[in-house]
Amino acid sequence: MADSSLALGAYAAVFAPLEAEGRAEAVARRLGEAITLGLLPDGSPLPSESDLADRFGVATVTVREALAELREDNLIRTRRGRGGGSFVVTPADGGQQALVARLRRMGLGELRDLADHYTAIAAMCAELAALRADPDDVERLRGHVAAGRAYGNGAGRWRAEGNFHLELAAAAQSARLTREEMALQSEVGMLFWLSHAQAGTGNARPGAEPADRHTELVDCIATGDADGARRAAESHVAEMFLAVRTLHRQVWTGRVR
Amino acid sequence: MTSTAGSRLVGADVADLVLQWCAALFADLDEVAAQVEQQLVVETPRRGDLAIEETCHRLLTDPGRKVAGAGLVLAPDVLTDAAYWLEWWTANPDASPPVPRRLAAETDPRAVGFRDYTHLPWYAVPLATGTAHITGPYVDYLCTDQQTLTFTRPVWRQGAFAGVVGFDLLVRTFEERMFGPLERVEGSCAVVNTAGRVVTSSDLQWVTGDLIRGLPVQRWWAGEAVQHDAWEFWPCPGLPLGVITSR
Repeated sequence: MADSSLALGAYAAVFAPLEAEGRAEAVARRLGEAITLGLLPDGSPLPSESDLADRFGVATVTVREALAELREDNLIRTRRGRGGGSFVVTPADGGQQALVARLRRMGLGELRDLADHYTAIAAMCAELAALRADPDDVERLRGHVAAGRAYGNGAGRWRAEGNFHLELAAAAQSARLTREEMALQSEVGMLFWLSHAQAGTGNARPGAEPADRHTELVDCIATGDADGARRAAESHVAEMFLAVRTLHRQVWTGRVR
Repeated sequence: MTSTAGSRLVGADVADLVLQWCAALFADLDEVAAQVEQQLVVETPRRGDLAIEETCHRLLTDPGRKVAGAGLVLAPDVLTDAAYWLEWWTANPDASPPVPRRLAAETDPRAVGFRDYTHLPWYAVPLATGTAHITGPYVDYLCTDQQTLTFTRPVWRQGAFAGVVGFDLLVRTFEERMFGPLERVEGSCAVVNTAGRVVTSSDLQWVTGDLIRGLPVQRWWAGEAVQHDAWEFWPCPGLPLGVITSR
């Protein structure tokens, strides 16, 4: 179905309509996660109250309640008057503490299951892209690799990683795999980023530079090497999850708090 | 149309049908473009000067057209009150009636959801060529979330490129419309784009979105008189679409 709520990838997922009860809490949680995950960067303006109400499909008063909650948690600040509105305040540690807490709640089995699911999607996308990508698609994928490299080690890094895989799914010409990739990214993206960020502090195993892996993958796609593309995607995803598992162990053994 | 239902068609007939249909869609686009160009005539155009919602709604809800999206995407800095601007409405063309919804797209370059559309082919090709274009079939993860064909043409202001107006057509709609004609071609028949990507096909070896390999599609597109003992190529003049049929 043509669904205008799926407008712009991860951003659209943040602002997709809500179904559940406790709507103010749900709005606060959705925005709070996006802020701690770095999806909404420090200082960036939130849409207006009425705009948010529209997007979430809730009343303006509900949005106001949610914003009050976020303000209490120091995740937004609000300015009045001309040029006013609510602005994102990224937590000092980039939200890593909140993410570590979330990783602590995950079992190793759950983590493996998530890795299996994501590998299945990413590898299939790579294989099909090798069969179906035209030269323009390959060019676009290379553009995403370059953009990812330009991000360096900032929090935008996992967004670049996500954008690359989303484009890969689109190059596979599969609407379903693309939707699946989009849904999974909100789960795996923050784990990849967290393990990478923690590797800098010696807490996780540093993985290979993703852009190098992406280049290998696109080279296979450019030559129509479906097996090679699949293998490159599998080992790329496996490497990233190895870093996550290493961090998970550190968290569970209490070496990371 | 001279052929009666049930009579045989050849590749040239199918190419002609595609051409006629696309010409009708582009004629609708010309109407939207004329409106936009009129609205941009003012000295310092602002968002409030644009008024194409009614036209787009009419096109999206017309059961004869079955378009899934319609709107405009302006070139940077055409408006004085927005650096980037797009107005796009989507509807499920198979709903009765289709209900147009405004696409929630981030147009503030500072915001995280912002995506610089000027690199995307449905914008970049009309910018580069100054003419209309059909992008796809591609998975449009920004808008329809489906396999899509996007029809765009430039709009002009003071002789300069000022953006594009366009339609989305679901590939499914294209397939439904062309299924009958394709079945009336003896042997196999497929509609392909300039990359050799299948839009729709009556040959079971090719599915929508597949790239045709092993046929000299690029050379056919280049206008070379390449003979193939099993396949023939029929371009749709002026469109990035063509038809291949088995001999």
